[in-house]
Amino acid sequence: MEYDVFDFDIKINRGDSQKATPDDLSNIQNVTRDNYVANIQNGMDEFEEAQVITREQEAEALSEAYSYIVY
Amino acid sequence: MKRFVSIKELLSDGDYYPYYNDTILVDEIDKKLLSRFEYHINKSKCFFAEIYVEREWRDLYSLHYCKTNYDSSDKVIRIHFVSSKVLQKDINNSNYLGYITIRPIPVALNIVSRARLLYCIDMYNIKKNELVINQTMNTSVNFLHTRITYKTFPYTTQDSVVTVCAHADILMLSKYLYKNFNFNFLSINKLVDSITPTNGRKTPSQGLTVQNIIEVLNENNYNPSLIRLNNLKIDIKNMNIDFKEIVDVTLRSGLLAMFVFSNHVVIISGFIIKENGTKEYIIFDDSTYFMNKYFDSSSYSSNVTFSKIQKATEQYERQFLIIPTFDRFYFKYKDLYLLLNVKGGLKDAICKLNKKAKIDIAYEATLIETIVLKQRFENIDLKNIGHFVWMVKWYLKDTFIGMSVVDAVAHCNDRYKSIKIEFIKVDDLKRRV
Repeated sequence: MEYDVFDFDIKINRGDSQKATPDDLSNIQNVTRDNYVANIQNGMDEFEEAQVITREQEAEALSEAYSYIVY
Repeated sequence: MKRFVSIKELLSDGDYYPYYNDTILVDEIDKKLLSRFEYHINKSKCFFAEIYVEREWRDLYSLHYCKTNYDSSDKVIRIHFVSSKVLQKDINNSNYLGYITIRPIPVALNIVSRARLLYCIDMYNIKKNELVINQTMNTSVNFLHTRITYKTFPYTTQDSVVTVCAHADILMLSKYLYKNFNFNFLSINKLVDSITPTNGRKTPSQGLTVQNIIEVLNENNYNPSLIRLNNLKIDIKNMNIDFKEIVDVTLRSGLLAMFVFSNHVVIISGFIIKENGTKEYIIFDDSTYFMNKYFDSSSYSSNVTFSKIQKATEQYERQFLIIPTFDRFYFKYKDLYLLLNVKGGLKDAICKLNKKAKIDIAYEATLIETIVLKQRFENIDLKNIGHFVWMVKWYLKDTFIGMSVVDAVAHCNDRYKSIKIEFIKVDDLKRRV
């Protein structure tokens, strides 16, 4: 069966996966901008640190790419 | 165009293959072609051969082979595969299985130039309720009586003199992206010309560095992401983004990934999710080097379990993924990953409001054109947004619970404006019929 990214019923885990119960779903709420923004400052340091690490990793990858040959 | 009942018969015909009287060579080529294209050859009841002007060979010929003493010409032999024993005038969409081209050289290992074989899902032994994504493109073949259009993958192989695996994979990538998304088309001439050689000469090629690949793709607006993996994952503080996550996002978004390790590169074009949840990846290997060495196959393309990929890569310290991306797309998956997963990120916000979901919440991200999302939902209000968005589907256990939308044209440090829809629960999504 062709995988359709807009098929929301696809079980993403497959295998021993299980559906959420009505009780699980009863309290699902939308997240507003205010909810999100109120939370965001908590992890600002971690976010910035992670950003730096990813940039360093990218630079490292580029320097290794310089000497890695494929043939 | 002449009809043959076997490839060997065709190779033994002096009108087509110039080394037809070298029976040892003909036998070797026949075996190599059978192992590489076994599925399509076994399904074929006859083969049609023609002399064909091919862009790739024309370039190789002018760059190198016209200066050698080979009895080769500037044309290839195109072999059409047909699933029933018919006359040429009866070839049609229901019996045509695609074609391969072979170079007029006496080297069995590098004889194949390109293959445009019909995409057959059966080739990968996929069962009915297994899920598959495999990238294909449409191609057309003109016969005197008809034009046949069908789905294929633009398989190309190295000749090991002018081109190596990296050239072949760039050509596959280029053809696929050109046909499906109008990327710039790359020819062998252009490719060879734009690479700074490591040994002072552009041909014969001694191989390309990963840097060379990135430079060529960059120069031609393919915007490649270079990802260096350690044991098939990237560690960012205490978070891991693994091979599967990166490759799956790439494939769901309609793109291809180049996968490099052990000084070879292959193309990953698809994945299969088996019933038990395990993953397999569909790989195209231009020389079948990885297929033979690690993946128990000698086919040009095969589905490989993730555990085999793990086993194959465990002794190599370095693995790279090279992923071309669309123009007007700046917010890479790594940026999205941080936006979602870092403390205080979107996942935290969703979990805070939906405490019961906290443990079992998972997401699946896909890069899509904004217009496609607008066409799918009535109430997704996306103003002042770029050409591409990240659609993030949230799941509780295995149940879809809602969606977030992130602007893929945003700045990588933007945690505020990049998010266009924080989380809209499934009941509030209005899908267009």
